[in-house]
Amino acid sequence: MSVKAEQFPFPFTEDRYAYSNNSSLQKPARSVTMTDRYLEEIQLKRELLQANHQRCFRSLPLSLESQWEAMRRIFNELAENEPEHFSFEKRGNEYRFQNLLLGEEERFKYRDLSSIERQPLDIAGRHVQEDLIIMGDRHDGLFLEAGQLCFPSNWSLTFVLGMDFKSIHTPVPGITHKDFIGKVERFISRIRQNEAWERKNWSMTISNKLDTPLETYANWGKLRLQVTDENVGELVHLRVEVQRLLRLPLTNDILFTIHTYLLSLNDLIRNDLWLKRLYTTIQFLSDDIAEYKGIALYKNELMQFLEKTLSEKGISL
Amino acid sequence: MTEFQNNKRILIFSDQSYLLQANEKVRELTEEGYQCEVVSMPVSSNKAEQLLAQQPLGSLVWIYSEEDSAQAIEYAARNAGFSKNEIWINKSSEQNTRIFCSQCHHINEISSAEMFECERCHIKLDPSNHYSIYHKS
Ligand code: HEM
Repeated sequence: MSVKAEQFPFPFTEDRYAYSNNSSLQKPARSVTMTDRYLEEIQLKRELLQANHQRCFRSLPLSLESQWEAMRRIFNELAENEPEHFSFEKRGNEYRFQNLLLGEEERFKYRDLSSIERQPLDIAGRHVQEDLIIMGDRHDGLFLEAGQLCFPSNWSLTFVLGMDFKSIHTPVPGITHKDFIGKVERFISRIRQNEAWERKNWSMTISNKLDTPLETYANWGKLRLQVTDENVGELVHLRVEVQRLLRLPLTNDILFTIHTYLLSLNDLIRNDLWLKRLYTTIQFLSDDIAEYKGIALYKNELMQFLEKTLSEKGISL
Repeated sequence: MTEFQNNKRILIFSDQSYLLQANEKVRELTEEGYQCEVVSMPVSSNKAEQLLAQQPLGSLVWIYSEEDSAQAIEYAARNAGFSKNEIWINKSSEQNTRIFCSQCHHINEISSAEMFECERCHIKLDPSNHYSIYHKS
């Protein structure tokens, strides 16, 4: 499910890529945003949740307080920023959220589980394009305590439930080098109440499939072997995750949201600067990261395609 | 176990069946410059807590024991202020390793780290070292 190029958050600001804490403070603090793919993506999410609820939603009981807080926060944000599509009203302890795009409403009594049929995060996530994760901020670190995750890039929510921040990142090559991941965790633990930070993470997906969980790797992973010189521009998509970290003021936990965008190479190369940056990034990508991101299998086809396009367009590096 | 590299003192709890293994480890660690003390189990929780409380800051706790008694020591160590990263529990190579199936979430108990087939969904699994304390697999 690709997005229009104008709405695509191109991730590279330089010609080389290295892991860095590329987070920036957001003003105003937003945890969710909308694109014109809203309706299709919500529909896809709902289908995935219907078919594989256990895979897409997990929570520990102690996350409930933060889930309530996150739901209220998200509904508030939607109503404030997109008043033509959403409204959110409060009467005493009773709330009513209306989603005019879907013709739906959610009513609940705050912190009263008997007033809702699903867990709060599982309700909120059905109205936004983002995947939603609650990271509990405990005295000895951050732990993944709840999530609604429909569009992961090759990881399993069930596996990382209850896991600490550093262990979640074990598979990422070089991530402990110079204590990078330790520094990131300390950075997150210092985020102040109501502050939101944003960063972009990127990878590549074959086809415009948003849902690439570890659980179904056997189905989508093999597509990487089908890339040829002829189909690379159409099949290979740059996948960008805009990730936001927001400190929930009541529980002090972190709401981590992931908005995933896909753009095919054919669409991407229309922009000369993007083409150039993607080329140099892939060129200098270390082998272990190329392997981790699954690019190694078709890197030759990819490089040839980008080189050919650069020369056709007469762009020098 | 890279997190442990800069720490110098290790308090090792071991029950009888693991003593050989623990002693072997102590030899290696001593050569690497660690100071090790071995406490043989069973040990009362009072005694364990007392020993744990006496350790200087930055010490580590290693436990060679079966699940239940290991958990009791771990609990005592957490109470004494040790963080999760400072406590290591024997995951004996002779015992079965628990491997979480990435496709169906079934936990397989296998004895080697070679490629194998998940006993529930039959997908081929190539075990990685990504470990979940929560799933203990
Ligand atoms: C607090 C919320 C966060 C959660 C829940 C989270 C979770 C994850 C997960 C599940 C993966 C995939 C690991 C795998 O392959 O199994 C990942 C990858 C990664 N994470 Fe995080 N992460 C968080 C925040 C961050 C932040 C703030 C940074 C950096 C500033 C970061 C840097 C990375 C990097 C560099 C990768 C590898 C991505 C790639 O190369 O495709 N993460 N993260």
